[in-house]
Amino acid sequence: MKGSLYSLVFAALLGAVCAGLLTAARELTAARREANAQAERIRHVLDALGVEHEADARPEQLVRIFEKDVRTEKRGGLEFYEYVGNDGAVRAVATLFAGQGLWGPIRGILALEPDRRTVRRITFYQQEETPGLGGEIATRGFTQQFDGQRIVSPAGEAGLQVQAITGATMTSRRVKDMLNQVARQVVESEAGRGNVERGMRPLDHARAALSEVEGRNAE
Amino acid sequence: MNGERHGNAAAGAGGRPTRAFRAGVWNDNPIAVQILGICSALAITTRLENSLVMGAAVVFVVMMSSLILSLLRKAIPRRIRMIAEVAIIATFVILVDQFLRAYYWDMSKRLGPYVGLIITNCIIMGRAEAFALHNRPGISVVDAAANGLGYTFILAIIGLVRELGGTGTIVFGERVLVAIPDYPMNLVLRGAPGAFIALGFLVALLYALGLRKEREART
Repeated sequence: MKGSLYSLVFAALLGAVCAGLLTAARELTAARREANAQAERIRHVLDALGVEHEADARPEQLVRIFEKDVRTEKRGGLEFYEYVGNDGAVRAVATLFAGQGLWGPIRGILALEPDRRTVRRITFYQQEETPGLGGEIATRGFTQQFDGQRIVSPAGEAGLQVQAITGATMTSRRVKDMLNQVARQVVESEAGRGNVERGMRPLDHARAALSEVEGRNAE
Repeated sequence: MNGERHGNAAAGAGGRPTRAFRAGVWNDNPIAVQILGICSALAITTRLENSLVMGAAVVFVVMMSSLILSLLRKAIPRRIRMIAEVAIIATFVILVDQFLRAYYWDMSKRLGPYVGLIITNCIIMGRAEAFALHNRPGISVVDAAANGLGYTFILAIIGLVRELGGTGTIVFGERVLVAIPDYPMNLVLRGAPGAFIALGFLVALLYALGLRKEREART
């Protein structure tokens, strides 16, 4: 009995010390880890939109480029990222999507042309599908089938055509479902245009751009 | 490969530090002789840099956990010693993982789940069970370091062969150290089969260099 009590106390103490150490480490690195994860997301969005940036850009640089060239807006439950060129015209629009894959979550980016109907590029930036089979969704060989596809069929139905991967029926089906869903959401987001929540209205953006130009001239 | 026990692990040389060191790096090399911890040795050795970082992580974890376990060896209740071992090992592994995520993001992504899987690397628990729990802290740390370095040096050779043979380059961070012009990419060496083949030849080579002779002479 005495032995059991000792074991219990020992286990509790050891557990407490280990947990304390881990919590401290987590707190200490939280800011840096979050910045890295954020930069990672931004990098994917910039890549999908075709915004130029250096391959080894630091997180702060990426955030600066993102804030300068990309306008964020929430609409119909989706967050859109618009690549606004120096002339103020929208060059591309992207939105994130996610869904359950076969072994874990799949996350990707749908980048559209300014018409919001034609696919510019689809990338999957997080997936844990079977390497060599479902994992092929992350390759350009799989994703290039979407380039230029319309997200609405001639019959007016929202969705995308997916050429399934042989041997990865489950993954292919799930990918198709999640692409169809995001296509539908994109279309619906425009039907309910009233429900728009912009991080920055176009006018504000123009003003901000102007003041930035002025600031530069003043230097 | 989890929790695998091996006769040789228990035979670890007690006593003199030089003997313990030689055993860990050479005579009882965890990978080449005991064939322990080869999951990670096969998975992450696509590049020399990956091998070295992974090796450093294992050296740190095995040294720290052996030190702590050796210090606690008289306090740990026998019945829950394995749980205590895993708790301590897991704590150090998570510390390494958080550190990489915060300060070495690209490497953290490349090593993927294999940093976390150091917890189940039988070299570490093997050294704890076979050595640290029966020996003083000083010699336990020497033994742990030797095994960690034994692991690292095999990984480094496989990494070197696979990176150079697979892509014709040796890259550290952003710096290209070696680049063979017009090198045709070797997909076998880059993939998992290449790791098996390289490991097999390496073990054969080490035996040919006298590894087995020394082992037989010792037993």
